[in-house]
Amino acid sequence: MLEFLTFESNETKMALPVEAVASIFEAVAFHPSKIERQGILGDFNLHGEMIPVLNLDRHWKREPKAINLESQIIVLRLNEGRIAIVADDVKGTIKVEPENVTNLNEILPQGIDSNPHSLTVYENEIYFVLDIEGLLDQKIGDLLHA
Amino acid sequence: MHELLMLAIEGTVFAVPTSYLVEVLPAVALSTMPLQPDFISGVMNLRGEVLAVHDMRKHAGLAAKEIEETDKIVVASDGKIKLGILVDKIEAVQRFKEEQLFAQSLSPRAFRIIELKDRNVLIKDLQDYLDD
Repeated sequence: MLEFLTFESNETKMALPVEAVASIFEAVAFHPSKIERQGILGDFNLHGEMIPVLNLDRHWKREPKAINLESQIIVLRLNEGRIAIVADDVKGTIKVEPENVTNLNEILPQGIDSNPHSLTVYENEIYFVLDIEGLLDQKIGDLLHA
Repeated sequence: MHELLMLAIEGTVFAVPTSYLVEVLPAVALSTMPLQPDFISGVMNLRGEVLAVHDMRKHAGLAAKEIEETDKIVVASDGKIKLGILVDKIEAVQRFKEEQLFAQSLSPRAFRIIELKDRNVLIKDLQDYLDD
């Protein structure tokens, strides 16, 4: 069975592999950027380590949703460091069989841009399963190395 | 003999070969995915299976509209993958002899054929469909 942390982001139900989740914090502890940085909302100070907070809305060209007191920061463990994303509402964990996770490339037409993310169904709800490594572009990769 | 499911989008008639047809469903609320192609209306859960639902209006170059309760989703399969096709109205299943389709293809108002290829929806002129 695969275990995922589920949350909502801008009205989309999302899931992350639990092994990629380092910790979850309240968004009030987040420092928004005074200067716009490509795809980054700001930084999260985790015991002295400044972790970039990825702007999922900008990355996905969605109408941005304001961060509020109920928002939470999910810190993710990557191959090359840590990054964080903002969740509107962290729900909990779910377990699904691997065969019930469908890569988007298997259902979207051939020939369009390859998509690293997947979908799964749990209790009749569709969850967008994030491949965080697949989200990162060169600029964000550079930030992690900075 | 060609058996076709006739359907309409904003008064424009299209046909889907019944060999593709899995089922027809009332339109349901779809889940949208970040960065989904603009010709995809969203995804739906069909008894545990996730399907991409294609917006026939986009494929046909027609004006977009919100999904209405009266819309239908045609679930189609080419034997490899299933997908949904969002349409305004289902008309009927009709059978056509080859010569009837040929005569229809000569009309300026000939309906076009919806086919599936490479997990995508293609719209084909009746003449091209007959030539294949």
